[in-house]
Amino acid sequence: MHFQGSPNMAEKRVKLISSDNDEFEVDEAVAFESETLRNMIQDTGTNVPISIPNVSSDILAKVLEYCSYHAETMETHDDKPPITDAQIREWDADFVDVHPATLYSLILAANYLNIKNLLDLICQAVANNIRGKTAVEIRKILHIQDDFTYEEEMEIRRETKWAFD
Amino acid sequence: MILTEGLWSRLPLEIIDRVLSFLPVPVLCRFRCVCRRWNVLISKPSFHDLCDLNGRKETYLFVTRYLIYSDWCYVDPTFIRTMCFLDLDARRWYSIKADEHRGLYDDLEDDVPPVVYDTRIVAMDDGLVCDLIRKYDTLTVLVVSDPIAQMSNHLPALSCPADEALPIIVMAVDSVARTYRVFFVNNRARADTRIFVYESATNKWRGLRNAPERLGVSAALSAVYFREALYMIFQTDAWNKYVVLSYNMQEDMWREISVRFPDKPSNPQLVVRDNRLFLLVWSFIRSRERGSSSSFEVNEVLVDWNASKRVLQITSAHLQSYFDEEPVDIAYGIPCVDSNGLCSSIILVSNVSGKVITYNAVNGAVDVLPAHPLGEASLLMEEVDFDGLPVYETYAGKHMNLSVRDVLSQGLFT
Repeated sequence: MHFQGSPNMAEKRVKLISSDNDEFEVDEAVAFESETLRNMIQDTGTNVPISIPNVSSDILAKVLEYCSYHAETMETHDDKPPITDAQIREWDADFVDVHPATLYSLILAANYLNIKNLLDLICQAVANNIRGKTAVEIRKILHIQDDFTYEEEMEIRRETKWAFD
Repeated sequence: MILTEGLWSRLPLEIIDRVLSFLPVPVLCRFRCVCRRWNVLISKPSFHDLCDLNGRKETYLFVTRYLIYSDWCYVDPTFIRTMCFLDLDARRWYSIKADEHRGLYDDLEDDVPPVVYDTRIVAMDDGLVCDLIRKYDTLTVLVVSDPIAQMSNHLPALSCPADEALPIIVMAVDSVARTYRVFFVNNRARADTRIFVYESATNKWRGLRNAPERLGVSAALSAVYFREALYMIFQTDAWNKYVVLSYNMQEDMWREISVRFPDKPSNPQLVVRDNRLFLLVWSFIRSRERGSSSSFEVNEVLVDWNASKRVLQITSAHLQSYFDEEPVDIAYGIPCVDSNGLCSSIILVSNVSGKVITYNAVNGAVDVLPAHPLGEASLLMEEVDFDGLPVYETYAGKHMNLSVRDVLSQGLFT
């Protein structure tokens, strides 16, 4: 369930502190996109700044950009047409079109902050990237030791021969 | 994006598992070779549940080529026994060859000559295919198999005479109950149509009591299973007139569906896609000024409203420019419904060349997909001693879900 701000009450603000001690202030609804932050805020309230020791400021800024956009897509405005699924997909595709090092940091941040949609989005992007690779290339990228015997590997190949042609 | 070495190797294992759950099934089959841990993971039921959530749905198109040939033609057996499917996202074909498709002919080899007169895939549903094997006009056997899991089931012989014309076979899989039905429409032109149904739960055939002939129809042209009922196109006694009937199994009742056919209709075909029913049909237009021309139409059959509406129309001239053949013979069309419920495009497969295109209904743009791997008819003709006899090729196709669970666990119906 997404948090819906009551119109009678000013939106609560949440302070977040990155690993390099930069302070960010966002609406509670934006922070609530993260399951981890939601639990923290529900425990300690919004008065105390929340420190996020393993996410740097540039990555936290990106994550909050994602959360703000997705919190906004849930809101309905009378004066604006709603954001379509196609627009969201396009925005998401642009969002993950970044340097692999950034993507790597984002995936860890999304995992730590428990933002399921962001984690899925990045996992899908990484999956798209590796799906054309061979087992040898995968082992190289992920530093995985080939621990099969020749016979074992041949047996696996034989089971679904069509997938290897 | 280039994935650099090193960095990604420090990724927590649970994230790697999550990434893998987004991969298409053929890629997962290949990645089992990466290491023991991945092989074990990809075979785990908990990972299969994650794949069910994250994996893509229905992006595999099964298309098969088969030949209609007489018994003194030689046809390369690998050709008739190869199942192919197209991964529409990766734009790549996969072929399951005969030696991997075991069991299909096993029961037949003992009592009959090894040369199979005629075999073709006649129906598909939800990962299962139904082959019809005929030998010298004396024996007709239906074999239901799962080509991926390499399992097959020879259905009991049907107590009705083998027919000159190919019967229409419809398969309906209930993946929840893990059962299937096979409908057999013995289709002698201008004679009574006999419909039989096989139930996998009882392993028996039975004839439908209520025959559609009472409604004044003759030959059946196309049939599909849709929302627990059989929908069929019949020719009426009037020339070039067609009618769509539905048969409700529970009530044993036929009912006519009001469907608008174009002028001079030909080759009408029913297709089910995204739980919706479509009618594909050619129409011939003869005008005094421009001579005759034809167009290909897609109509949605609105069963609840007892009506139909045209969703797109393509002229044959337009199709010829992409298929590069004349006349264009569409073996199969698969309408694609977008998230707004509109029929936004259609995948078309050529009977002649095996070419596959996606036609965008909104802007008329055409995306040419890789052609069928067995598409080069000329290569085959060298193998065929046809003595001036015609050799025809045809396709059948169906969208299917592939799940790594089914692929690795030897199938749904074992």
